[in-house]
Order: sequence, then C-alpha cells, then structure tokens
Amino acid sequence: MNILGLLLILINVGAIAGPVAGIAVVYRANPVEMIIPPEVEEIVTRTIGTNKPIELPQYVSSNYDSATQTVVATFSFTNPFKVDLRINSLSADVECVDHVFALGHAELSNPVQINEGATAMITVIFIWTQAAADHFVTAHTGAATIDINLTNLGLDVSGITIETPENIRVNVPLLQ
Amino acid sequence: MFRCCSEGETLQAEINWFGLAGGIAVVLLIGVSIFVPWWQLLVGDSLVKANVSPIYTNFDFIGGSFTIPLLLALNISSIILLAAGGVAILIYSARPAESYSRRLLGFGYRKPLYALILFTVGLVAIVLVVKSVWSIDVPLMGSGRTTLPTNMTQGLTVSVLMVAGFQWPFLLGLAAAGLCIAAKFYDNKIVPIQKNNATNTSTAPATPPPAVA
Repeated sequence: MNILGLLLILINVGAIAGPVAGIAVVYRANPVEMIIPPEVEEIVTRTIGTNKPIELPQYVSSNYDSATQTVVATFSFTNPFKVDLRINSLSADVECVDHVFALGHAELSNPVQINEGATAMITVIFIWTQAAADHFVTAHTGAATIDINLTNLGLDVSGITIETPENIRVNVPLLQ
Repeated sequence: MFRCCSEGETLQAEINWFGLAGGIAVVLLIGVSIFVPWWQLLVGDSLVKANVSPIYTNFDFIGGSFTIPLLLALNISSIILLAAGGVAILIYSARPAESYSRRLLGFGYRKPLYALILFTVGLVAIVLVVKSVWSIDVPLMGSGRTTLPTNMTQGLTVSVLMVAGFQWPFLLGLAAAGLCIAAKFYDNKIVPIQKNNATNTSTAPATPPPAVA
C-alpha cells in the first residue's frame, strides 16, 4: 500500500471520527445536549415561557345594525408570546345561552397582526339569521341585551389552526 | 471537446472532462449548501423552519435559530469528505493517466453519491420515526396539514400546515454525483487507450526501416 492510499484511508476515517469525537468530548459532561442543545430550552423560555396566563380574547364592545341584522363585536387579545402572531381567521357558531338556540355564525372581518406582547383589537362580524330574529321576538321580548355563546371556536394563528371546546360567553345589546 | 478514436488515431483527451465538471460541481455544491439547504420544512407561517443538508443543518424555532451538535459534527464530516473527494477528482481529471490517478478517482467519485444516498435515507428515516413516535405526518415534498396528538395540546385540536420540499442544491448534488460516476466510466475508455498509445510510442521505431533491396 502506497502513501497515497494510506492518506486517503486516514482522510476517510479521520473525517468521520474527528468531528464526532470532538463533539463527544465537548459535551462529555452532558451527552444529551449533543442532540437537544441548551439553545432549544432558551428559545422556548424566551418565546413561549411566560408568567402571564394565556387568556382568551376579551369582549370589549359591539354594534348592531338593524338594517343588515349584523353585529360587529370587538374583542381584545394580548399576545403573551415573544413572537409576532397573525390571526388569519376566526370562526365560531353563535347560540343563545338561555335557550341553547343556534343564532348563526361569526367570522373574523380581517386578518389581524399582533406583535409580541402587544394587545390588538379583533373585530368579529355576526349576521343574525331570520330564525334568530324570530327567536329574539318570541323568547326575548323587551330584553335590552342577550347572552350568547361563541361555540366551536376555531382560530388560524400564523398557520396553526386551533379548535377549542371552550365557549366564549358574550353579552350583546339587542335592539328590537 | 471529446475526441473519439478510431483504431490507429491518437487520443488527445488528456483531461477527463466529466471528472473536471464533477469536481467543480462538488466544490460548488459545498459552497452553496452552506447558504441554501437541500431540503426545507416550514411549519405554519414560518414559525418553525428546518433547513437540512449534509453540509449545514439548522432550525429556526419561533424566531430563534439553533443547530444540533451531533448533526453539526456529521455536517463537518460531510464537508471534509466531499471537499477531499472533489479535490481528488479535480487532480485526477487533470492527469487521468498518472499512476496515482485511479486511486484518486476511486476515492472521489463515490463521495457525492454516498452523500445523496445517506441524506435521502436519513431524511426518510427521520420522517418515519417522527410519524411512528409522535404520530405527526411530516411531508417529504409538498404541503400537508397534520393534527397534533391531543396529549400534546391539552385537549385543544391543533393542526399545523407543513410545507416541505427539496431545493435546487439537491439537484446540483444529483448532477455532481452523475458527473462523477460518468467520470469513472469515461476513465475506463480513455486511460487504457492512452496507456496503449504510450506503449506504442515507446516501442515504435523513430524512423521507418530502410527498404530491403
């Protein structure tokens, strides 16, 4: 075997053994960090780790347009993460809390960008169905407000779709 | 560029052009793969990004970037082996008829092919492991929406959009591997002829023998 052959074999062996052995020596105190580096925990702590509880969007106000039978409800949501989020879509079924009566469907009016730690207003549009209008007349005559539940809540946040079994209860004005 | 030889014609192909192109492609491949991955996975609106190649692998996780040390070691191994293979192919290509050239060719021509095979097999294996252990479908190519296991999401139904695909350096790797294999086959054609030519030149008389009256 000549010198060149020996050199090529050494390159083959050394190229693989050298870096792997080097990493093993560097991380000999904690070999798990060879696969899960400490940076992962730092990133998770920095971006997701937060002492603040993650709250569902809070109801702020609503407007009712009797001509179009449309309720425009505004919610505030504080982004607890240290990363910008974009709410691409939001949808929910709306039902009367007292009578568990389906009133219609609500959807996000426009996508909302929420920077890290910031609070943004989320506008949700809900169009009463004719059955809902009839329900208000028959079951809520004279009432100024009505409690509604947003059920089957679905969110698309930055491409991640979340569906929660939790309901959001909202009291909205009722003009008859 | 390539001259074919009929019997008795001198072959002038002193350079293995396939090898030269393959060697350049390998060196180029190493350079571009540091910046452009061979395969990329995007989760959500780039909330999570995996940039994977035999040369450099890193992950972007919600704005933070990190590498896995063991993968980094394997990436360094790949860089050394591919660089050594590329240089070996280039040296061989310049002087394919030298005594040491066959050894350089044998060392170098397989390296891009091995890199491609190990990369593809490793990628498929990781995708299968993720699916079997965490029940998460990661697409190798194209896009797909996968629902995370509910034990990971505290009762919420969470589905994520994943977009994955091979990038153009992977195709460059295929081309480099193809050129290096072509260099090996082309070597079988040119070197024996060159050796024969060299033998004929050394044994042929300098001047024609005088005619016998």
